Amino acid sequence: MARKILGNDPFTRGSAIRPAIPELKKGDDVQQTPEVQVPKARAKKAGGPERKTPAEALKVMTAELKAKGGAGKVKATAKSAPVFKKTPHAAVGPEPMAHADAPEGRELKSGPVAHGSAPEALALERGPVAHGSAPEALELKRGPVAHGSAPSATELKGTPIAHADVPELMSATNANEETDYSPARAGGGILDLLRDGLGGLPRAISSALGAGAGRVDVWGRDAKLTRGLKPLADLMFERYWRVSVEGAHSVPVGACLLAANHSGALPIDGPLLHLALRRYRTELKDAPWLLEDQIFNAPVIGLFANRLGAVRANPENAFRLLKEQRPVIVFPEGMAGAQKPFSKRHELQRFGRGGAVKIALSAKVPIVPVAIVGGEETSPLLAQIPAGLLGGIALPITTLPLPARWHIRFGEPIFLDDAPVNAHDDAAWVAKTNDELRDTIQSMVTEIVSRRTGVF
Amino acid sequence: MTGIASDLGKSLLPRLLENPHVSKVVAFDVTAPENTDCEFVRIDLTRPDLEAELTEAFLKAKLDVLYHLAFVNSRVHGATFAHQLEIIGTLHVLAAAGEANIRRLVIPSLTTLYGASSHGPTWQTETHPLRGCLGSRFITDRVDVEKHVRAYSVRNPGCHTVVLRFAPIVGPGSDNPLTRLLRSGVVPTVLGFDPLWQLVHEDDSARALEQALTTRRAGVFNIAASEPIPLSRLIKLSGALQLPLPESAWKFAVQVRDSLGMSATPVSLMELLKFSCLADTTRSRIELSFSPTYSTTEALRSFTEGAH
Repeated sequence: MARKILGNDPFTRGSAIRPAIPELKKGDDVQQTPEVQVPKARAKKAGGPERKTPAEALKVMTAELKAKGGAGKVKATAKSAPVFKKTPHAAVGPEPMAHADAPEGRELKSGPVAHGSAPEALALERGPVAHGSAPEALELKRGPVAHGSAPSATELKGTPIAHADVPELMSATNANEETDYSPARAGGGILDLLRDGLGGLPRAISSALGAGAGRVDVWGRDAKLTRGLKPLADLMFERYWRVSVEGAHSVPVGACLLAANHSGALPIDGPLLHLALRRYRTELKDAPWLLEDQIFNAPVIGLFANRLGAVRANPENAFRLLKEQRPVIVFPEGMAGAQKPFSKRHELQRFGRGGAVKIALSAKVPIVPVAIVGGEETSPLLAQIPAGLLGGIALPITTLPLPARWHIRFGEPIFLDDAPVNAHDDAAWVAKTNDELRDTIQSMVTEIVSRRTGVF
Repeated sequence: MTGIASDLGKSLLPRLLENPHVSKVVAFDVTAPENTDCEFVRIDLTRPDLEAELTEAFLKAKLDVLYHLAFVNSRVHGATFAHQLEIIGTLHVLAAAGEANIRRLVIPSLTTLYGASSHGPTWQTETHPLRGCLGSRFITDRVDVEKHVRAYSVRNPGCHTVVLRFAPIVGPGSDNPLTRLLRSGVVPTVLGFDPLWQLVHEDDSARALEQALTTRRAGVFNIAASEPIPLSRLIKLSGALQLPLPESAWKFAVQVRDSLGMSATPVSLMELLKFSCLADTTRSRIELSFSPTYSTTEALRSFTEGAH
């Protein structure tokens, strides 16, 4: 049963470094053959990638599992990072099990030494963001930002939120600047990090139960709560999910729509994307994410998401947030994206009625396509309790969040300036642009999946 | 002015008497106001055969502006009385105002009429439909009143109709369901929910009503303080004790209190304890150039200081 659910994508995959295959179709991310030599593999696959049927793949997977002593072991090594730190290769043996090394966040940051075979891929993943460009960009931009935010805030005066919001916007910017993203932080012991991380939990719990009694902004976001949870968020971001972020520099300053694919059964893709922007683009205003209305029906979850920065998804809210000159995160797939079975992971669902495109068009803001990979392996959707049974919301049955590696990639912004007149009412144009957007994100997702060196 | 004994009437009257534009104030009510500076006409809006008498009274008083403030703000009178007063009474007043060619009509309403729900925009502007609150007669009646007022303003384009939708009003002198709930000391809330609330101070509400006397703009305006706060914070600042109960337990507790005849929040208003119902005040700020002097927190502070 479990295998059926897991489909043809074994969690053990990734012992090989697979080169990027540009024209990979959906579901074809099953490249089981362990390849150690990248150049060779590339030469082999360039000719005609060898693809396996799911049944074959399953066989290989089983064999691999046996060889490694079960997936459980892989999981265990991934989790017990401190032990592992001292003896990076001991647990893995001579075979270059790329994914097994991966949990060690620090080593990766200082350089992808663990992987003799895959320097390219890793450098690509971590290179641009890890230390080089991010702090630089930060320092470059911080100067103008401090002043820059003030005029934009005053400009807003005529807009609905003006008076109430100006101080809030400022403090949000300040909070952003507090975000300390220095590699030195990662030097602390995992226990210290855990202790720091758990410090914010009591407040989070009381807040989620509806007894928080804190200050919030006009959308319900509690900045103090976010600050309190920052150590925990950092821990999860850096150590547990080891999120790699690419192309954050392509997010334009000011209002823009970030269209991302839903990844995973649990709504953690929104917060992680939000966090990624906070960390890598400190000069931007906080990016709220629009969350399906249904989730707000659920006690605790909906409230907690709102306190962290989620906003009900509807065009009015989107316009309002864009007017505040914020990047706004949307998931055009909607619930269909979060509720797709694990066997359909990395396959984007329909993009609804083209709401994102219409909003970007009306608000005259660019759309930044964002691909998120990792959520589906973190919380694979195994089954679903139908909405009728428990208070109006479909509950996903999934595992505890697994330590899968996350990849977030920002694409180049899409400007809709050359749209025809009245494109908003042109259903064909909206549908076409919508599909193009979906294809862009799909190809980014496929590319990451084909390139990544392992699930965990 | 009708409903001079209501909270709004009581706070508006002294302001009107001091206003240089006002030559006299005529009060239409069942009980004479304590303030004797105004004329008093005894009118019972719940009487069925009222219309002719009301028209005559309006004409005789040579009214320019009519404030229709006769709305119930508690359940103690009973649902039938409330329905009679609010809907039938308003229909009488509107008919008579049409007959008497009143030039300006000001009616208070509630932002609560937008309805609290997990769906839809977080911030409601005046153009959003009034979803009301299913099962709550109090709210449904007021939605109905607004409907009649809208029909009236269409039928009588010569009459300057101003509807002010107020967020829940608090202040030392306010006596409405919210202030009674907060004064009762214990506020049961729904576990796992903590909606944002806006309030408006009673002085601000009176000021907005006074400003409606001279404004050139007609239509509907949301009046609410800036800076919404979570319900939990609202309760904490008011000095009351928050009692979060799971949804089913909350319903049960309220039903028990209800059937014992103790004043409590009707079950149908539970949505307000679960979801935010926030009004966008851009329009009143720009077109009415009205901005409340009290923020939500300050209004609440004034309420608690007045109570002690």
